[in-house]
Amino acid sequence: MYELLDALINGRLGLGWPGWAVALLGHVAVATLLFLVAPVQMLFFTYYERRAIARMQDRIGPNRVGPEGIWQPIADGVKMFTKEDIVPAAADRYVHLLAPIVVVAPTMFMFAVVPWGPGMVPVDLNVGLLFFFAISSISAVGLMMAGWASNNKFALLGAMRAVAQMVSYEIPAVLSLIAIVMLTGTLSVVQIVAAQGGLVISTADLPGVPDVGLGWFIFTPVGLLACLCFFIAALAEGERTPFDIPEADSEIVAGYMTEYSGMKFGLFYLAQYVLNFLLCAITAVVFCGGWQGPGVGWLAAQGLSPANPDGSWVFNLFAGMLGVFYFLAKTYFFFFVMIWARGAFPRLRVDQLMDFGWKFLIPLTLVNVVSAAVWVGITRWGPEEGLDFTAQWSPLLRWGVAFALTMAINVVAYLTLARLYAAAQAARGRVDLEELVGSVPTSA
Amino acid sequence: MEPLQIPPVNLILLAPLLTVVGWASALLLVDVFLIPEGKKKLTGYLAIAGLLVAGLVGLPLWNVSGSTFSGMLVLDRYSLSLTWIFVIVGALSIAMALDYLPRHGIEQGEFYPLIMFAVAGMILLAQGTDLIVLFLGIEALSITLYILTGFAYPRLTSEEAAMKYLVLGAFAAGFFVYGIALVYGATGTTSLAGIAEFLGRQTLVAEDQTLLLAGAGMVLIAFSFKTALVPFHMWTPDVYEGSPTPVAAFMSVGTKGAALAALLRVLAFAFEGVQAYWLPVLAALAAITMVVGNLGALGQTNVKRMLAYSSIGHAGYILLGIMVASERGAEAFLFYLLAYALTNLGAFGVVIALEQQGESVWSIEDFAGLYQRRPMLAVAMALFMFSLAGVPPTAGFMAKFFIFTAAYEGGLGWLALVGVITSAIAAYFYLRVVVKMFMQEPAREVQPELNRGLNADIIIAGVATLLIGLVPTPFIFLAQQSLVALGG
Amino acid sequence: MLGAYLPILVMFLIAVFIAAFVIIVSSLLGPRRSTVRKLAPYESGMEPIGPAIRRIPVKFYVVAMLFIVFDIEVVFFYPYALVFRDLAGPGLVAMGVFFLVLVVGFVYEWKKGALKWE
Repeated sequence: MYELLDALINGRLGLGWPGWAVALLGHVAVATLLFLVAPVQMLFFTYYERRAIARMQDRIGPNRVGPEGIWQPIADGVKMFTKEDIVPAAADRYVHLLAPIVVVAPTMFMFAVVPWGPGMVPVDLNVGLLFFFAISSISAVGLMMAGWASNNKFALLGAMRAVAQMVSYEIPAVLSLIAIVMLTGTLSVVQIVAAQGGLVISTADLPGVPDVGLGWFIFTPVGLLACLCFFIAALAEGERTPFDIPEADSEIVAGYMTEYSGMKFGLFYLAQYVLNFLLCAITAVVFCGGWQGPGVGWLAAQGLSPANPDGSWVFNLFAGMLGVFYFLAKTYFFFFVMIWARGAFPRLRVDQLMDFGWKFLIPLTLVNVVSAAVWVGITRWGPEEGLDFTAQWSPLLRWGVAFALTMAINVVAYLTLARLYAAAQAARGRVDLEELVGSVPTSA
Repeated sequence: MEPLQIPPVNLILLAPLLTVVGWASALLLVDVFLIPEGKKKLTGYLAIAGLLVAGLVGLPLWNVSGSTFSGMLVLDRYSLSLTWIFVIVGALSIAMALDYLPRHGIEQGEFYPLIMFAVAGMILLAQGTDLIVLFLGIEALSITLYILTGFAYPRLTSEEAAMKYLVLGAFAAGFFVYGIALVYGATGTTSLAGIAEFLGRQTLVAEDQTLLLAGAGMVLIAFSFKTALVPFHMWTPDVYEGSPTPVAAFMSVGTKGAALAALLRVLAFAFEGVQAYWLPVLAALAAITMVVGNLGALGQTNVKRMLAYSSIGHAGYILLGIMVASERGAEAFLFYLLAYALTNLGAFGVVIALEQQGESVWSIEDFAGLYQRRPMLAVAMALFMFSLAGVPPTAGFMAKFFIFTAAYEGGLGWLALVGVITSAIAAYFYLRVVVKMFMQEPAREVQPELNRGLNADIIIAGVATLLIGLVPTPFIFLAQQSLVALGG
Repeated sequence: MLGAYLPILVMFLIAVFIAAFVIIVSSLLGPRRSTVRKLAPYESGMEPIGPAIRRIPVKFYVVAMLFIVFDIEVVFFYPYALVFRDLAGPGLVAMGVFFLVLVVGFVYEWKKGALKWE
């Protein structure tokens, strides 16, 4: 990127700009490009969701504005822009104004570390994954600001619920990623994607496996469980059904957004869909190889690179396009699962939500961390780490043993926890019933 | 990147500490899962057993010494002796609480593991040779004590005490951390040995050392808060009065002893080179602490508050031993700590026996005529009062004697004089309790309640107080032995 | 090293700018016709009773406290997970102890009912 711009500005145009200005221009260009893409994704997502959920509910969905209703989101956007911006008299004006910005800015900001294709990452931070989660939790502050500043009971209740839910589910989300960090030994999102080459078995685990970009972590027991836990936590983080308690419209109107109208409301909406996109994207990137897929690696190898100066840039282009295609296809698939969940499940109660997060997901992810340690210990460690007995084993045997062992740990953990959890829920149901029966006046 | 290496760790050196922490963690779960409501006394017995086991684990380590965790923790006889003192303090406090808690309707199993965690924090303070570890120890100790202080939950004074202690404690912790940061900035290390080495290399010029002195000052302030030295003592009477009495007893001896033990190590090893700077400050602190503590106790009619002020005064005396920083001083410090701990725990035990259910009055009038009703209890209390006052055949006398001689020999004659004078003042309010017990008629009907735990506590404390007073030689020998190869 | 964060800074500024810009533009485009009813707090058409901001149930604070404890422990986990392979055996033991302490706390609070949402 930098070399390209440098060649263009200082070489072709001969402007003689200093290096930092070129770099700055490059960064601004990338950022602007991304922030143009983000709202487009959000517009597409709203349309996609409305059509898909309509199909599940045996309706048609928006179909009037443009062919198959494709311009519907644009029309909605225009409507938002020209609506009156109402600030309640009792509200704290400045906090009320600031809240949507505090919610939206970090969400957009998280795009910085998501890789779209081979070599196509805005910033390859060495702590990318941590950055993603650090920034994502900032928007909880914005939600609280919105609820508090509105000076409305529904808004405050919604904000409290939203924050409690976000912080509760952040722990399983982050814990499930730890398993992947242990497998890869890096926090860089780019390197996590790079580690997922192979064919079912990752090349990192078993050297010699043909690399067709299918060594995804989801094919290992550790990665599968982590992926499930992470995705469920992501549903809660993104306030998707069945975890849409903070904005349960049948209970608390629209939660923290109750007192927002016009484009401020639109910004919350934007933030929510962008966050959903990002959560789906991170699921795809971390567990399903991101842009990895059959053909991308081969195309990239033919292309122009420091290692291969004779390559043709056409291959780079194709590799990039194919990579972005794979990445978006996986992301859209996960978003489809989100819509699917919305079509299939009713909303949980708050206590069910908390129980599920704390008593089921967190223990499960903790067990998964242990599984990850077992996996790494068996596949990677040798005598120098103090594991003599695996030294004689062939890599395939090691992989097999690791697979069987982690599978056994995870399945047993899942069954045990599921049984415990179900028993606890059943006991709770009985208590509820008894309270209900007890409260009915016996003498009429 | 350089390959990461975990420094070799010798866990044997931490055996007592690990025993206490492991036992407490296990006990927490055992208590929740296995011990039914109303049988929580069992948890208490298990906690005492754990502390005793930790003490026994320390026995074979008497001839072992060394440091581990890259020199952050050290095991020497000094720390081992302190460990034993703390274990005894913890066990006796739990013994006092066994019946106290159910009697006041505040029995919860967590009380006992919490005391154990506090003891672990104290042991960490005794073993730490790095400012960071000392900070950890202080926090581990303080955080558990915040909870314990507020343990008498529905009682407002208890809540108030916990709040007060929490706010001031957090404040002190802030001072400590800033102090550490400044010291690190000046010396480039947080290890006590490292600081001492730095000071040894440097020829000390005041203006170059502003950072170091400011840091050392802040650390000193934090320690003063924790040990309740005047003028940082304001919280003490309120907190002691509000918290459950066994906790007050534990705090008056444990916190103080542990913080002072750590202070001794910090001053004597890390900052020995700048003694010229801290000695006058500490001397002034010690002097006003002795004066204010004892004068404050004079006007109290509430026994718990009186004991609180008396503990402030005693901290002043103990400080004398620390300031001398010679072998004699450290010996006297250890001896005084042991004598004071046993005496004070005994005195608090008697207060608990007299404490009526659901009351927050600990009036001195309740002691009136105790001799007619419970002669043995009165005699025991008299013994403790004599010991606290420093009357000859008791432990308190020997302790004061040693500490004053050490101060005199260390060139702090005027402080020793202040100590003697304040001791004379202190005799007034200690003996007032004795006079009440033996020579006055009871003002109101007070039913002293004794039970197994309290009995054990008072008997052990009483016998020890007398024993140390009458035959001090073995204990002095022990204290002397403890200081062999102190330094680490 | 910090150079890697320059694009982050640029992105941050642009993100804030876009959000602020959108709000300003929409406030210029939209009408402003406020009435007393419109500016009252929205309570599904009922007259609001009492202030909106009142004491918040303590369970939210419990969740916040549990979160802080766990989040800090998780944050300690991350650096370890990174260098997990280099540390090998001793690291595994050390982290196992850490993990055990975490689990003890977790089991304790579960049993004590701190995770129960009533």
